[in-house]
Amino acid sequence: MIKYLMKRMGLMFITFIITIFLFFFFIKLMPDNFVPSPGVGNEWYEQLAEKEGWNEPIIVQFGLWIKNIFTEGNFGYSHIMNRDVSEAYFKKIPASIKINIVPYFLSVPLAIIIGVYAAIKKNKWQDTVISVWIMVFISIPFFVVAVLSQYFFYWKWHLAPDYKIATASEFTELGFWYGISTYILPVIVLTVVSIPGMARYVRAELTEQMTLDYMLLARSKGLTQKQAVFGHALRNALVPILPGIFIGIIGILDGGLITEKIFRVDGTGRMYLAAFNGRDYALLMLINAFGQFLTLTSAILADVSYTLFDPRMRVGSGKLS
Amino acid sequence: MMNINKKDLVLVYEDDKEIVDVSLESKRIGYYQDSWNRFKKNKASFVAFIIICVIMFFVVVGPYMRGYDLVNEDPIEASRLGNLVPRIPVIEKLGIFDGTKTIQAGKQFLLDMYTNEMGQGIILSGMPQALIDNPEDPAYADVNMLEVVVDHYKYTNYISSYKPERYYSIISQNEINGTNNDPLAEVKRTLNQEEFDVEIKNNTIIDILQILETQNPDDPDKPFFQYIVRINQFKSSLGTSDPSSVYFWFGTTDKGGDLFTDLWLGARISLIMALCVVSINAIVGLTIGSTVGYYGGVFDLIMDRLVEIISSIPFLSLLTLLTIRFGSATWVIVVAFTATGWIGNYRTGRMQFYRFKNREYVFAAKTLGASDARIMFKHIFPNTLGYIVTGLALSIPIFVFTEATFSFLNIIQYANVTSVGMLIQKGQAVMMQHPHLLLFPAVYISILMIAFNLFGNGLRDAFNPSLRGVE
Repeated sequence: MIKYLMKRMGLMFITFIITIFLFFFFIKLMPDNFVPSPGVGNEWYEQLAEKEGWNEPIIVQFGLWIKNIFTEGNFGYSHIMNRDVSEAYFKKIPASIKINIVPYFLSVPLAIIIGVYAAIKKNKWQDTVISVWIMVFISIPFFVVAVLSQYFFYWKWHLAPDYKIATASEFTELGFWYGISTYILPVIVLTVVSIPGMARYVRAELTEQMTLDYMLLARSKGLTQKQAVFGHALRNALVPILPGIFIGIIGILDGGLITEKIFRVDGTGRMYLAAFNGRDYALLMLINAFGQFLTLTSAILADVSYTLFDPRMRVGSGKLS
Repeated sequence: MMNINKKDLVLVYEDDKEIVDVSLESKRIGYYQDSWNRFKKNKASFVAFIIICVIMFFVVVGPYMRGYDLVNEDPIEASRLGNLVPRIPVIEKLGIFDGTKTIQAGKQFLLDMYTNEMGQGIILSGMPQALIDNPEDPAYADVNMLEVVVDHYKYTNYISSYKPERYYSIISQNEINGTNNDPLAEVKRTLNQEEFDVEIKNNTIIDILQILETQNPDDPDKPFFQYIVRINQFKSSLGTSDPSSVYFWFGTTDKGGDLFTDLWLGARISLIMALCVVSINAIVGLTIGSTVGYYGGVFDLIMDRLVEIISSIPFLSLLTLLTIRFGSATWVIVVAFTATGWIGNYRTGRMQFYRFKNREYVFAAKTLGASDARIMFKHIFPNTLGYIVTGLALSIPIFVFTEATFSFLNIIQYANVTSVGMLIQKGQAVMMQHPHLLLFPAVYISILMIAFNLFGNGLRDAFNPSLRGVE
């Protein structure tokens, strides 16, 4: 088990270094890497060039970049914010978590409940209604749902207090409850669009489990449909789903670009767009590296949780890779 | 023991007749015929298929249906026709998309419009009767702004050719500040002799406000005339004096372009690119995947590592880096989508060929001396086709979805076309004043996505023979 994990992490680490280097290499190929700001003068340029090795080959620069991270905790200098990028970036994470966490913890149980309900009522009208709803929300792009909800709930029907979430200054000016109430619309939209994918998965898994022989045995030994489903089928159906739930927790850290653009959340997603529009390469490098780190971490976490939840994996773990 | 008279036993056939299999009476149905039959039975998918066909028709024909190209011919005149609300023939009788709009405007301006000859029939409802009877009605003394329902086409014609919306506010500003701004500046056109002759010929001039005579630098004998006039906007730009005969089905954009045309142009670019990307991904991915799956060995091990690294590159990073470096030309977008996009097809191809290569019929073909290429194309490929086609049908909506999302986020910005995502993004910015700019593209993309997904699901079920008789 430990050996398998070590091997897995080793491979992940190699992948991580290679992809990060690819990002770095590509960013260094950009033609306008240095934009001298007027008034700052050459001294600043000299300093950074010395520190980040701008006159060296790219591979040496990459080494220096990593060295600076470990020795000074310095991920580079952002020219749109005029400070260290990590300082600016990691400060934005709480705002992203704030908007993502409630929809996440609402949508997971709701999705399981809805999926189970649809599976139990398979081919009845309740299932049809849920299937249509799932189909619609899986198909329509999230940004369309979000923008239309803004239009109808704020502009047309005046149900929401605002179409974007309150900023810190609005919180103090207009009161805490007003600030919280602006979160209701985005939270509902995010919840509604994140349920269908998972609900469909739960429904498919559970329907499959319900056709298996052990369910027949459970029914024939006298359990009711309900007891059989909740006592036996649901457990097995949730095994492949649980890792996804764990990965979702890591996803909370990563602010969605669309959510943050549409609802004006001052989080990491908006910072990504700012870095993109401002051509802030140091910031882009950090965000991409951090995003890659999160992705690979969640992949490892998924592996671990598979072995935790599925005994079959534990036995044959050595053969996986 | 029964007593059977041996004489009762008769041979079923004569010695000279041979028993042969009787061929089946029923019609033979092949795999594809069967799939098609079952696909037709799935109502939702079949309707989705028809919707896709209709959308395809409009994508091909739609941009040419209106024949309206004022935006490119004369952008300034076109922008005066910007943000018109939708009006669709026939449907307008139901009271929707009838070109009416609720607007807010100054009391004096509306009163003037209601009473003067040019403004007849513009205000449809909302004008208080008391105010019409007595413009000085004391009940309305403090009211400056009124909300009325207007025929937006006539109203736009009125404010762009006769009297601008700000006419009275400019006059009162002048009184307060002592400035001398021309209240009619927005509708005045200065024409030279040639332009004037054309407008006279077309009979579009409402009135001539001023004629300026200046020295002609080329020929001092002939004077040089400039005419300051007001012209009928719709008549001069669209060639019709009656605004109620003008139909912009989906309304116009802020620049005065026809939204109907723009929407189908945007749809066309994303669908062409979808086909492009999907076919490149399919060709590259399936070729590599099937070869790897069929031959396996060291090649498989190397590709496995390579694919793991490539597939771990986040698409967002790839797309942003490429667009920063090379801009948003269509080929850049295609490269971004194909760079990691082929992995999915690679996996499908590898898995399918790996699965089928040890089947008995493949051994049989091998024993008969068939070459590898023949086995791959003739024997294995047809078996995997249903699976592959379904994958491709489902990857078109995924592309459209992703492309629209990133053009909504302004990460993809085409230079000379407006994709549907960009239309939605522009519509979102003005959704309070001009909701039609948001609603039409949003409804289009929603319908397209639902239709494609239903169609793909239907295909998947139809190509899966094991589901036969279950539904």
